Amino acid sequence: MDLYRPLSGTRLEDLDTPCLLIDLEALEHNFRLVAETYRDRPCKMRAHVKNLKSPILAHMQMRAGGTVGGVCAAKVAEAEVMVEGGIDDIFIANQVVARDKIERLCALAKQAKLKVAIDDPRNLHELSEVAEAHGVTIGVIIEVDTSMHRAGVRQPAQGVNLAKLATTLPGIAFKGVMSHQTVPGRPNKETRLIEGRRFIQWRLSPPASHGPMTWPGTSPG
Amino acid sequence: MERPIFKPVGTPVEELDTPALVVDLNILEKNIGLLSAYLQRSGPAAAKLRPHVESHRCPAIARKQLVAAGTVGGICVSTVGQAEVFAEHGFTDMLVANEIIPAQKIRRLCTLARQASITVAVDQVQNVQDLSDAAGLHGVAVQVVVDIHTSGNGCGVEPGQPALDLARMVQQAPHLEFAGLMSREGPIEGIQQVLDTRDLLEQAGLAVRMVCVGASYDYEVACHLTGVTEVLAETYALMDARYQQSRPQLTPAASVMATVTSRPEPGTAIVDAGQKAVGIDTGLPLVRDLPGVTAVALSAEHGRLQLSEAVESRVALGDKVWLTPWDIGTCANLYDYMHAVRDGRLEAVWAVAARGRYR
Repeated sequence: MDLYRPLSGTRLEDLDTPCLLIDLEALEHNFRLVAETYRDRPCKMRAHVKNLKSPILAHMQMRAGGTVGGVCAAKVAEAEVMVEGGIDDIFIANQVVARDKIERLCALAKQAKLKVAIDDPRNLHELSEVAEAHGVTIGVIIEVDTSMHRAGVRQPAQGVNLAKLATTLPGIAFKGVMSHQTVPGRPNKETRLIEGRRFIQWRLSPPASHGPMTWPGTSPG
Repeated sequence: MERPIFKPVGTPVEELDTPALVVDLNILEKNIGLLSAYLQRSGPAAAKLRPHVESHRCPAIARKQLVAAGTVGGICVSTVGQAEVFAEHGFTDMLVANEIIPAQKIRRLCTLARQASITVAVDQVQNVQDLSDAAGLHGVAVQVVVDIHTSGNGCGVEPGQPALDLARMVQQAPHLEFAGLMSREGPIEGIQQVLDTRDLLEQAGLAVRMVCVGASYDYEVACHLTGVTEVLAETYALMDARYQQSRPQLTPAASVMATVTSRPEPGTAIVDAGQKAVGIDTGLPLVRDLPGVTAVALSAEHGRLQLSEAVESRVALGDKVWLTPWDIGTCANLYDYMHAVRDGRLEAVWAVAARGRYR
């Protein structure tokens, strides 16, 4: 744990090194930019706190506007820190599998709205079982692999089956779909936008065999 | 700070919260014992060991290293912050094997010298002056080794005459004690340059009490060279995948236990340990005890494993997987605690007390 606490007002050149600095003007500029971008759009930002790691920064982003009023986290422990920091809507954009962690997730759901990513029916059954025992409801969002080749369902039909299962299980509320995206190499801004749009479109298109469905989508990162 | 979920002593290792940094005590003790036995066998003329704690930052492990025979009774650290932590844990002889430059760090070093015997490295004139002034102000004695540059892009003053000039300056500084030489040398030629410099200093009438060189990869050679007094071995206790290649007599004792959180398609398993739980700065981890399973990529919070057809059916959702970090130094620094395990059961939880003490 970093115990270094220089007094407010300390000159920059008097700080001990190495030292992680945040330029507050740049930070506020970035937060304002997000707020303006999302002001009149149906889609809002859900900031991923795995980079911020700090409730105060998440609160600053949410106060600036343009967000869904909640955050995204990578881990149960990060979600616990955010709930302690007064944030009450958290999406854990990862699979929570170990029994201990599912227990922690469900205990935390007594204090905040929690959603979690899923890609496996066995995991979904276990989430339901523990959520029901705790008397809570866990929101589930189906992870779709579009480009990372990491977790996530590989075929739309798998996602549809999971979604159908989610709607039948106690303690579970089906909330939508999500995907992490990456564009290989070091793409320029245009390539990044085109590829990003392609991945998102793929995720939003339901398989023809199941007829039209509209799913609220989310894309952390 | 980590949010540890503490389990009672005796808990089977598979029940620990993941990702967890796990130390196998039998292996750790074997590694420490192996170096200790080697140095004892080498006789009184051989150099002694000064364990460098940078790679584990854990007082409980440093204690085990010093209890084993064949050491100088002190440790080596990289930063003033590390020295402060180990002083708080009762260590009284520390070599800070780095140049300490900012005034506030020099003040901390001098304060620490009231509680422990502190030796620090220098490689330039102004720093010698600053250290001496601060030591005088605090009324403490600081011992100084001249850091010799022998290879690579490291710090240090050039061997030979430049080193002699700096050593003289240290000796003449009113509040410093000249202790000797150190080097982060690479190959054996580097150590020879340090030893040649030692001879030059002795001829010039300077008593060279300490010559600190060497590492886990060359301790057998370094300890037998006449003139070397201390070997600064670091990785030998916990070991890692990188050192395992060149040091087969030592076994990796530390691993990151992870949980399989997704089996999205045949041939692929995703675990809950990525860069933030393993470290990736110098290389990917190796998967332990599961032939046919390879760690192929780490992102921030995910590790991707590739499975051969033969093991495809043996890796299921929720299973535990052990990863041997490529570089234990960057890995251990990511954890507040390590779980000490013997024969598959938790025996102790140790604080990585100097984790993050880079100041």
